[in-house]
This record gives sequence, structure tokens and C-alpha cells, in this order.
Amino acid sequence: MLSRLKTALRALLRRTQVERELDEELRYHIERQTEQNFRLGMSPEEARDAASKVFGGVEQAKERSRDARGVRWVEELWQDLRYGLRMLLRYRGFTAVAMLTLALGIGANTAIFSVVNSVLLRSLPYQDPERIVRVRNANGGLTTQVPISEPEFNEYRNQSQSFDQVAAYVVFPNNLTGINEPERVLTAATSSGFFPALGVRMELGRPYSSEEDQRGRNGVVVLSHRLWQRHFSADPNLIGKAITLNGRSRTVIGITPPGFGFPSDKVDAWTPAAINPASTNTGAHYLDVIARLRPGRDLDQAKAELKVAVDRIKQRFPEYYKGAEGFTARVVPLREEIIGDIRPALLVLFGSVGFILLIACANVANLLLARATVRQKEVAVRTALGASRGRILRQLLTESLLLSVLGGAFGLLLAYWGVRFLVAERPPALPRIDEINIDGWALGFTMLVSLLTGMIFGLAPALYASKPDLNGSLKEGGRGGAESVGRNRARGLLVVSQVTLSVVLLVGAGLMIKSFWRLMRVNPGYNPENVLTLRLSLPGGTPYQQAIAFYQQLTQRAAALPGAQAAAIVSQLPLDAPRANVSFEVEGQPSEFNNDDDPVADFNTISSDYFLTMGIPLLHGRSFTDRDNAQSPTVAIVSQSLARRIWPGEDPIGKRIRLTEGTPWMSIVGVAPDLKNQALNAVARQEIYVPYVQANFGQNQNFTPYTIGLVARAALDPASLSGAIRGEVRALDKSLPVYDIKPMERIVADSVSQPHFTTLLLAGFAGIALILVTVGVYGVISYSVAQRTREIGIRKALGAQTRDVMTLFVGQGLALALIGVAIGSVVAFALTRVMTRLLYEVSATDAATFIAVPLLITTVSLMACYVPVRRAVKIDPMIALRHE
Amino acid sequence: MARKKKTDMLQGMLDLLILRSLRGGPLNGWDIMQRIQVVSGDVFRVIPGSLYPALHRLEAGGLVRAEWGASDNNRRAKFYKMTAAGKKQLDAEWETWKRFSGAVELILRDA
Repeated sequence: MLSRLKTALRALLRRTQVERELDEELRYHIERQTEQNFRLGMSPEEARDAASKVFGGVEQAKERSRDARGVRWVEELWQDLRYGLRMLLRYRGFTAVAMLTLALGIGANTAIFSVVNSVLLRSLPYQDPERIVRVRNANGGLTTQVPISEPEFNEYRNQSQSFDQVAAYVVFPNNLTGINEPERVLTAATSSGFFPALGVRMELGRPYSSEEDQRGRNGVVVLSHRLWQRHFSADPNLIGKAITLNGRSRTVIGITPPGFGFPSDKVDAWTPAAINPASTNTGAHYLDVIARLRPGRDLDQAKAELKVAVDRIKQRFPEYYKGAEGFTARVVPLREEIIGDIRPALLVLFGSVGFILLIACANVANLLLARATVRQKEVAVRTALGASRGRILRQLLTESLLLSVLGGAFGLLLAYWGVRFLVAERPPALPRIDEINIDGWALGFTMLVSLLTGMIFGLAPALYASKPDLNGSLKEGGRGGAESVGRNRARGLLVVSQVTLSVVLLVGAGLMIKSFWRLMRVNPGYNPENVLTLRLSLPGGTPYQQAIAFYQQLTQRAAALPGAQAAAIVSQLPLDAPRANVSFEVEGQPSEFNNDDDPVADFNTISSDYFLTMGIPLLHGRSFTDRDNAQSPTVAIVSQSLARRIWPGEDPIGKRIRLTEGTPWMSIVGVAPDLKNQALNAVARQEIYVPYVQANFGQNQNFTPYTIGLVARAALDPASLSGAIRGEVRALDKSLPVYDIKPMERIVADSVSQPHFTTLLLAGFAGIALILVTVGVYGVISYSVAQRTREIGIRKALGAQTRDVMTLFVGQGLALALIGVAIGSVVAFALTRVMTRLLYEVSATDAATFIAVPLLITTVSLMACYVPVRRAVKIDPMIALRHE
Repeated sequence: MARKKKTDMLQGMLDLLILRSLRGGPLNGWDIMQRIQVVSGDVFRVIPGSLYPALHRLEAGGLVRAEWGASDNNRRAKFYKMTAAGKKQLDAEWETWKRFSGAVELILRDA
């Protein structure tokens, strides 16, 4: 009804005016009644008296009129809010502490929830992402995950029963020239099934077809949305134009949708790989393969099918796969691959912030409990004025909700900044970084948490406060006596639970810190200090001689630079990429070729100064020299664990190994120490090193690397060499891109970025928890001591020593803390086993941590108790006795 | 009216009386009280404490409209006027009341 709405709006917006009118209306009535009474013979005062009495209490009448307007509850809510705000401003200290506490708890929760939601929960931004899988090769004995070769890929693709699409890709950098400034663009060369496998639709244009995925016809390219916007200013007519990649002209045929970035968000261009379907290049393993499961097919069926493909391939190339009986294909859901690594860490973090929120709520609950007592007088007065218990309850609850909503808003701001900061840092540990943002879900979550905290910690104190002992409160000194046992118990319970939670959190953080500390002290076997690394790739098809010559000149010139002490090249930089893996034969030890025990090792091709540059001291024999060239006898260096395993107790120098039948035997000339080449926290792997100049074993066995890492040791700062080395590369070949220039130490740091990230955050949370708990214990003890100031005065007046009084009070606080610590230790003991996967060489029940943390918390609680008690005890007993 | 509670019977009667007295034209609260008293032969004396809430309720419900004007002795007073919806409500209530009182009479007579 329109009029109802009008009345309601008017009542809300023009309240003073409406009130005034009501007043005037009733006053008019009273005047007329007064006149009538006067005319009937009463005196003026009697007349007026009788007139207002007829109303039956003007205030009540007004109330009933106001009620009749029907918008009462809104007016009351508005009243409550204003009153609540005034109260919050009045007790500024309390409000500040409470809001900050809540903001920390809610902010941390929202930030981590956003991350968890974006990374773990949200599905990948592809069509039907659960059906996309990664196909990997694996080698039975060692769980290596070797890239895939062209013949293998072709075989998998032909096996198309379980898959709708099978696609391969490889990523490498390209030089983009021609339009605007030259730029280095990370390119993925993919087979034609790539975009269909992901289910991606082009923003503009189209993906390439299978016809275009052939040699000679693949002069097309699909660009990323980001590149299109940044480099080409979102030119809508770009489709059909030509750009130059690595000197080769390509026509742009499509632009990907914004936010798309597979296999990594740094890829900006996709070209057809034009893989030869009849390729016999079994030696080069460089492809990654994804596939889309056909509807109705599951992983097991796919795995079984791939096994058939693997068998077939082994039959086609028996010489290559001889001794590789452990070779299988593996199928992993893509999602698992991307997030599997970080999931346990994120879940631990998520649990931790939950703890923080609980601690924060306990803090604020205690604060509110304390304040409820303070406001008892006010509540009593309001009850006497006629407010119903429900009304008072409602007002107090509104006040706490107001507090928690404000705290939540502040927390959201903190979370926003926190997430922005996190994304800007781009920790390598966190996948799907571009997809992280504060989204609607996080907002809803924050609101829910805010309101729940408002209700939970607002309810109990509100119930306490609205149950006034009217008489007691209104009397003089009413405040001191009314401390109920229940309230004390509640406060004690809150403190104990706070301490418990923080013990668990701190133990977890302590374990992580210790583990990370151990990790950082792992000796990788090489000296990463002052070493600069970079990567470059020669264009495929570079003739062998040309490649060799290039490498030789490059290493010579790099080593000759002023400021450089040594330089070398290596097929795979340590810690930076999956290792190439081969099986090999040992002379004199006939291998049973259908055995999983066949020796396998990681295979590295290096230049002669590699060990020198990396600071690796050889254990036996010698390193490679310039005399080991293409004409001299083939040699190899093995790692110590390999030597020990193959020739236990013997000197490996002079023994011979070879890769497969048909390849030349290599003599061992040196033994290198075990290195951490794959990961710092993994067991050192068995390695074979071969001079790159000797790595060409023939047509199908050409291990000469076309993508290499260059390492250079600088006398001082490795970054100082980067410009010079780039200059040398440019001098040798102008169009050759050089990329991933970083100090070796950076590579080492990146390899532990996940534990680094987790440890940092967890330590931060533990720090927050410790502060919150300290504030909580301090607050409770201060308050309790303030309440009992009189008692302290009495005790001292009766002759108690300061020390005794202090022991009494501090002891009570300490008792609470100790209970919390005890319970917390037990709970931590039970819970930390979920962290085992994250820990490196630290047990989940590490004794040192489980002793240190309780000790720390007890000490901190002791100090938090001591300070307020000491202050209170120093008060002159005469003043204390008069304290109310 | 949006909802009719059972306890509204007495309230309803008051509303009826108010609306009826407004049939002759706009009146202020005092006048309404006088008129009801006079017309009912002093049987009904409306307590101001109930009258004004009732008037405000009727106003909120759109059955009467209020305007500030000058009373007969030139003082400012709030005058209430019946609206079209009010008239409809009055007729409906009257019908209900007639039926109600008729039924009561029947029962009483029958006994």
C-alpha cells in the first residue's frame, strides 16, 4: 500500500518533524480538554492536571502512537546502531583493540581463503577440465618423469580409443620482430590437437588445423590476449597480418581469450609443431603431452590402452628400448599435476588461519565479557526506565554485530592488500597465480565469519549483561560485588582455549621453521655462489659441426671476459628442470634385459670446465679436457653413488659403459661427488657426464644438446657478467635469444620456494597468534586484578607481603596458562602428523620443538601476568580499599 | 487493513466509530472524541490514549488522510479526512457489524 510506504518513509526520514507534530497534536487536545474542565468549574491547575491524566500518561500514549505507525522496529534498529556507535567511540581503547584483533583474524582468513579458492577449489578455466590429463613417460625402477619423444607421441596419438584429443607441446623462447620493438616471446610449439584438447575457444580468429600442422604449411601463429593488447594495442585487424618470429614470417590466425595461459601463464604465442608422424627420432625426449578423455572413458581404461601403445613402440624400436623394460606411460589428471604439490601446504595454512580466527574471537569475547560488567549500571537504569530484556539484548547484540562488521570490513581491506602483495611477489611455489583474486566467495565468507563472530561472542556477554541484579547495580559500589562465578569461569575457559590453540599453531610453525632451516643447510655438492646461469637454444636442424663450433667459441669467449673466472655449458642446469634419463650397459656385467634392476642414470652433456665452474671437486681421476674431442676415445665421468653401486669396492677408472648396443663404449676417467641436481630434499641421483662434443652417437642416438645452460663463475657479483655474456652471444649469432638469465643462487632459492612460502606464512601466523594470546592473557589478568583491587588492599592491610600477594595472583594466571599449554601439547601431538609430508628431515613429533614451544608460551604468559599484578600490588592499600 | 487479529474486535469497533464520525467531513481528534460521545448519547467515551493511536493507525493504513489546518478558535490542529478506501472499509465493517449484532440478537431472543 502506497500510503503505508509513505508513512513509513516519512517516519524514518523526518523523525523530528513527525515527533513534533505528534507533540503538537496531543497538546492541542490537552488544551481543549483543559478549557472544557475550566468551563466545568475546575481551577486552571486542576483543569490541566485532569486533562493530562485523561490521557493515561502522555509518554505511554506517544509510545502507542509510535507503535501504531508500524515502523517501530526500523526506528529501534537505527537507534541501536547510533547508540552502539556512540558506545564504541566512547570506549576507544577497547574498540581499537577489538577491531584490530578481529581484522587480523578475519583478514588472514579471507586472504588464505581467496588463495585456496582460486588455486585448489575453482576448476581450471578450460572446458570440462576434469577430462584433461597429462601423459607422461616413466621409467620403472626410478620414478623419473621423462619428456616424450616424437615416435612415442605419434604412437600415443594413434591409440585414440580412450582419447578425443592427444596433443604435444614444447615451450621455448622466440624473438618477435617486425612490428614495434623486438621482444622476446615465450612460444609453445604444439600439435594441432592442442586447443581442442583444452577446449579453448579463440577470442578472435581460429586455432590451426591439422593441415597447417605439417612441415612447410605451418607458417601460422596464435597469439595470447595479453600480447595482443600489450604489443599490438588490441588491433582488431591483426588476424591475417604477418609477424616475424625468430626470423620466420608467420600469419596471425587467432587470439586466445583473456586469462588463458597454458602450459604456463608466460606463454604468449602458439605455433604448429609440425611433428613428423613417421618420425624415428627415438633419442630426443622433449615433448610434453596432454590429452582429453573421451566421454565414458576413465583413467584406468586410458592407462591400459597406453600400455598397448608402449608395447607397440618397444616392438618398433627394439634397439633403443632394449633394457628399458621398466618404461611405461602414466596418465595423471591435469589438475592433480598443477595443484597436487601445493595442496597439503595450503590446507595446513588454511587450518592455521582458522586457529587465529578462533584465538581472535576468544580475545574479543573476553573483552566484551569484561565490558559487560562495566555496563551493568547502564543496563539496570534502562531496565528501570522500562526497556524489556529482549530490547536490551537486541541492543547489545547489535553493538557486537556492528563491531564485527566494522572489523570484517577492515579485515577485508587487509586481505585485499595481502593478496595483492602476494600476487605481486609471484612466489614460484603458487600455481595459477593469475587467477588469484578476492572474489565473491571470499567476500561472502568474510561476511559470514564476521556475522558469526558477532553472534557468538556477542551472545554470551549480552546474556550476562542483560540479566541485571537491579538492586545491586543501582546501589553504591554495585560494580565490585557482582562478579559471578560463572563469568570468571567463562573468562578462564577462554584464556585456556586461546593458549591451547596458540600452542598447536606455534608447534606447527616451529616444525616448519626447523625443517626449512635443515633444507637450507643441505650441501648441494656444487657452489652456487657467484655463478651466473642462462639458457639458450639453437634452432632445430642446426648442423652438428656448427653447434659444436658455436659452443666452443661461446665458452672460450665467456671464460675470457674480465670478471669471469670460468665458464662452461651443460645440458640441464641443476635444480632447474627434469633430468634426462637413460639406461646403460656395463662392460663385463651382462645385464638381464627384462629386469627392472637395469642400471639407469641421469644423463648430462657438459663442456670440459663444468666441474671447475661449478666448484665441484672431483673425487677420483680427471675432468674432461680439450683433448677429449670428437676423434679421441669416448670418455665419461660418473657420480660416486653410481660407481659404488656398479663396481662396489673397485676403482671405476678405466671401466667402460655404453648407452645401448651400437653406441661406442665410454671409458670412465673420473668420479664426481653426488650432487643435488634434481631437488635439495631429494636423494642425490646417479649421474653420467659426457663431453658434449662426443655426445653424437649416430643417427638415432644423437645426444648433442640443442638447448643448453651456460654457467659462468664471476669473481664478484654474477649479475655483472650478464650484459657482457649476452654481448658475446650476439656477436656470435645475432638472432639467438638468450633467456632465463639468473644467478645460480636464485635457482636454488626458487627450488625451495614452496617450503619457503609455507614457512614464511606459517611463521607469520604464529607470530600473530603469539601477540594475540599475550594480549589476551594480559587483558584478562589486568581486568581480574582491577576487580580485586579491594581484596589486594585488604590483604596487604592485614599484613600480607607483597611477594605473597603476587604469588597468589600470578599463580592463578599461570595455572590457566599451564592448563592450556598441557592440552595444547597433547592436541599438537595428535595433529602435526598431517604435516609430515611438508617436513624435511624433521619428525612431526620432534622433541625439541615440543619442549621449546610450551616453554616459550609459558614464559610469555608469565610475563603477561606479572606486569599487571605488579602494578596493582604497588598501590597504597588505603587507596585500594577505597577502590570500587 | 493488512491483517485482522482476533483481539482486533474492540479495536475494529473504535475504527468504525471514527470512520463513521468522519462521514460528515474532516475533523480533528478532539472533535471526533466529542462527536462520538454526543452521538452515542454519552454511552461511548473514547479515551484519548486509545483514540490517537487508532487515528495514527488508520492514517498509516491509508483509510484516512491528515492535514494541518486552523481550528475554530484559530489554533493549529491536525484534521483527519476519510479517503475512498476508508469509505469502502466503513461500508464493509458496517455490514459485518450488522450481521454480527443480528446474529447475537437472534441467539439471545431464541434463548
